[in-house]
Amino acid sequence: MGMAAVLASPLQVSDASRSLVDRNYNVLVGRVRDLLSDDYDVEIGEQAPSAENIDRAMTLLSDAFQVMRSPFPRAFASTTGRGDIRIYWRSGELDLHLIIPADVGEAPSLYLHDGGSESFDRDVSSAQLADRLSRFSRA
Amino acid sequence: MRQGPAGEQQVHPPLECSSLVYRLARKRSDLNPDTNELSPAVFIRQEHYDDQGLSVVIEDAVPLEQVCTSERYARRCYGVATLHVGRLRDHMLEVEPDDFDHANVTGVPYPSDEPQRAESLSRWLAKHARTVWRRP
Repeated sequence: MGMAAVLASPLQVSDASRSLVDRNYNVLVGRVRDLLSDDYDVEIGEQAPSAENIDRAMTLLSDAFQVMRSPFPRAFASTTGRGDIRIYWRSGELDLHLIIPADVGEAPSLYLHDGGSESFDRDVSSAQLADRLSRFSRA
Repeated sequence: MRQGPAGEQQVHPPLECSSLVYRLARKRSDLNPDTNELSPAVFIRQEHYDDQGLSVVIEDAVPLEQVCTSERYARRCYGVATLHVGRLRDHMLEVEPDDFDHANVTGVPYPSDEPQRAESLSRWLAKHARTVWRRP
């Protein structure tokens, strides 16, 4: 296997670890899909994320997963009921929020809280997301 | 502030710092399925029911079982968490009653107005909320 192939492969971990890592990712994919069928109160204007927005979230997560060199951390998915998608990672004092707005013309953003500091990035790429997620392997 | 039957404004006494207020989870995904804690998304200010601030129920005024089941508070309820009023004040948030059983946590912006502060507060509020009931 050449260096390019090594760099392109998602993770260099044991089979057992890989299985665990895949499970975290797959669980999150299922949780994002479950947002489509959550119990929305349509009478007050709540709505599920659109299929297009679910696809956008899946693409971002999948692309980040492919380039990550560290285990994919456990996460869960929520929404405010306005068609947005919110994904949360937490470990100790490290919190990461991925916000995918309902309007597909509006770029995703990332909020990071790490101990005493915090940052907010707009127009987030999969590489940025992977970089932020890699912090969880050091947390 | 809500108005009384004759249209006059009713004044409600301020809450003690020792008071608790309830915030409700209205959807399945409002709960973290790994921990059963309320998601930070629950503490994002919502335009459809948080017009005066984060809508909360006053714990002293309503038994927990009634909060979970009465449509007065939510048409759907998947979980309930308490917030400590004194702790909110320590974090520069105020809790303003507008009915005998209802208050608004003020100082929480809409995410469209201040996205970073909205996320920061949602993280902090979720961390300091204590889940006291969830749908079996």
